[in-house]
Amino acid sequence: MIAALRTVAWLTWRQLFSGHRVWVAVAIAGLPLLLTVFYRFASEDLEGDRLNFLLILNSQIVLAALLPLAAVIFGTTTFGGEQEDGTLIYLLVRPVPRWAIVLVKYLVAMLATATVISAAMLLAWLSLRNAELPARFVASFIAGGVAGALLYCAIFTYLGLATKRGLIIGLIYIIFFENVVTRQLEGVKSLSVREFATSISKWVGDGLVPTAGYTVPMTTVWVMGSIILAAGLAVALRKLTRYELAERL
Amino acid sequence: MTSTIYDLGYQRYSGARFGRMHAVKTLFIFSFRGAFGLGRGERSRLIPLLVLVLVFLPAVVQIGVASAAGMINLISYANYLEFTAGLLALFVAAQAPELLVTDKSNGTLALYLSRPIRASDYAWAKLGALAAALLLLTLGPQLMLFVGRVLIQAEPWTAFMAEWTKLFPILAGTLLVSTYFASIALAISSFANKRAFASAGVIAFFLLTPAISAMVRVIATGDLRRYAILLNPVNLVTGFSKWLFDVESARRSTVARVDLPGETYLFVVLATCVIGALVLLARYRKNEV
Amino acid sequence: MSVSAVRLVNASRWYGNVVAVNDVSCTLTPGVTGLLGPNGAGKTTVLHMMAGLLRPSSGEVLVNDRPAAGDPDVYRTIGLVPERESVHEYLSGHEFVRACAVMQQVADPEAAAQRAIDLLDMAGPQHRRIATYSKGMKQRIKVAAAMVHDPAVLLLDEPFNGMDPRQRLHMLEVLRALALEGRVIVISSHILEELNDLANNILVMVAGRLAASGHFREIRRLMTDRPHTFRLRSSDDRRLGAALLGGGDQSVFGVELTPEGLVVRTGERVAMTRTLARTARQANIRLLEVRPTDESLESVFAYLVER
Repeated sequence: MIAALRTVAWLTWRQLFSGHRVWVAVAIAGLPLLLTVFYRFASEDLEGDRLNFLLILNSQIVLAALLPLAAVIFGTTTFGGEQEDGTLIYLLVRPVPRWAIVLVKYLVAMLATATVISAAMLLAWLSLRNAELPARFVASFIAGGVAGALLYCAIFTYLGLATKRGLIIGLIYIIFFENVVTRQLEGVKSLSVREFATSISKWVGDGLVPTAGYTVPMTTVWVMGSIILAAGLAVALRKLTRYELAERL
Repeated sequence: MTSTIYDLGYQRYSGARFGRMHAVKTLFIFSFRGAFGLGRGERSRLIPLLVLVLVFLPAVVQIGVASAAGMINLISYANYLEFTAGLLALFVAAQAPELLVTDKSNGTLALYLSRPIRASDYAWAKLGALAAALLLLTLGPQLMLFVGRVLIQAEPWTAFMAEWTKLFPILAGTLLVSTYFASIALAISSFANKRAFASAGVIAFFLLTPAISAMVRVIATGDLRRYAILLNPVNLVTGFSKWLFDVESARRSTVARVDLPGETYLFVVLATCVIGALVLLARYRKNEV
Repeated sequence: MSVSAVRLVNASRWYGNVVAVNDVSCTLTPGVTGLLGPNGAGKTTVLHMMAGLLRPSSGEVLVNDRPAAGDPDVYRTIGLVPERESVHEYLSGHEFVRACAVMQQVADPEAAAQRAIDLLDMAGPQHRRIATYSKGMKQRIKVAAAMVHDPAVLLLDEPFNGMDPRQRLHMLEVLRALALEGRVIVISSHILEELNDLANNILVMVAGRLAASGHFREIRRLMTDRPHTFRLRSSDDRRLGAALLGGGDQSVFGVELTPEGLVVRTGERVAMTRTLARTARQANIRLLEVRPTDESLESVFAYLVER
């Protein structure tokens, strides 16, 4: 069965990065690098400037925008794309338990997201690193990115399976909930995946990453994070298990 | 009387035919309706209706409260676009793909192009339709605000005479801002083959531009710092509105601090509209699918 | 190969107010069974229920006496060729069939894939991307993928769609050979000529109900309340017609003179053949051609639809 699941993973990976879609990944990974080029060109590069720049780059652009976007695209494509293409049926008529299929697809989406986001941050850091920017700095943000990928992909894998407009709904979640609502209501921040990612960065960074601004307490992060992860996967599992393929109409 | 057997088979039509312009107008109307989800499935009405309601809400609230408790200034013409920019971004992110990508993916684009309508006509019709839809969402509330403010006064006619010059900037502002959002969203959507990816692209634009703008402001120096805010659609729209209505922006806001000449905003908005339209037309240059 | 069977017991499937499949009961045995019906009759729904992709709203759908839905292991014995044309476009034919073989947990996926591909005559284009395949080639690669694990039950949803006559003939041969090995093969179609040579048994579905089942010649015979028709050419059609009508044989319902010959409608097929011969000899008329005209699936089907 392992070989079968590996094939499902391989199929999903091919689906995410086939043809033109690979450029999406390249674009996401390359944007921060592009911005560092701009930085070198436009900034006086005084002491502390690089730190500042990378801080904003990683937290405001990568974690806040690129991470959810990548997760939405990869997460909803794994199921929504197959449904739309009509190829999901070839995965369902196999002696492979459906919950395993969901898990494999989730893992692939999560790995794809984490890889792209980590590459993005690594590239930017590599091009700018100096004495005040040790490896720990970028590692803490990568940790946040991976955590965010874990959670976001769980939500979006389910959405891709449950709705036809999964991607659009996922995007609305990002814009409205994470950007607008959390800015207005502090309490809601303990439900925002982005805040979790940021908090984990601060926790791993341990001083390297400034802890200014509201930080979700780590216990909340672990607890709520686990709940969201488990819940997202559970509903997705349930959804596929009960999934019925009717006539195409 | 002679007997004949009538030919009831395929008949050719040799009467008058409507021309290209009629076809374009029809496509325009159809796309306009499609932007609000009319004539499509149930679910496609959700976001347009939501945005429609939310966009009128401040005006309704203001008039409602003012009529009950006297004039308040919850929101003004100059502020309105700034408040609703996010909703407009959401609207175009959801609907621009509906207008462009569904035709491509279900093959109806080929049908359109096999009519007397040209590819460039198609692009113009879509741009016009989406801009018109946005016009409804921008002009509508402001007109409602205007009418409300006039009618609430004890002497409506004097109020009207005092306010009516505001109609010009209202119209100009909403027209340009609508075209701004429409051209950006359509230009981005024209590159995608799937509706979902087009939406993602548009949202990526509206998510990343404010972030990049903020970042540039942090690291850059001198004039670049000031011009960076033009990248942020909300700031751009705010500055533009303030200039149009000749109103000072809130003291500590980004726009005030940057203190750019008002014409800059006008220029950037216009330039974006033009660039977006050009990109869209470039994508629909050939009469091929 | 052990004998397997697919059984439907009062299976129904509805979606809200719409009944797609209405109380269908049948047993499918080794050999080719044709599932016929117009579009929208519920054929794909029945196939998907047999394939375990849909649960029946009531009744049971059993494969080897176990419910088809809910247990992934049943797919070791089932192969499905869906109707929709779409296959993973970015894979090559070989990659796709091999992936299916691996997912089916076949012992030697590479060999199985190659066997299936060779059987369906797709060895040539197998390494090209599926996006470059014609419709008929896509159909064949789908059938190869469905057969790669040697299933005892093979369900094909409109498999001849998009195939040219030569490809169709080849596929017929393949399916006949598979059926002879003892598999249960179900082919759905709304084009009747496709199944005329292939299916021994047919199930006819009309508007969700099973309108007829069994060997189509038997079905035909069961419908005794409809006249059988013979087309004749003889040396003197008019006189033969008159003789038949006036001959006192109650089973002759009517005759009709047409430019192509004489059409005789009768209630009893076998007796008619004897009556014909006797009447012609007595009237000294030579029979040139005698054809029973509506044995074909087409007339069976049209008749059932009109009912």
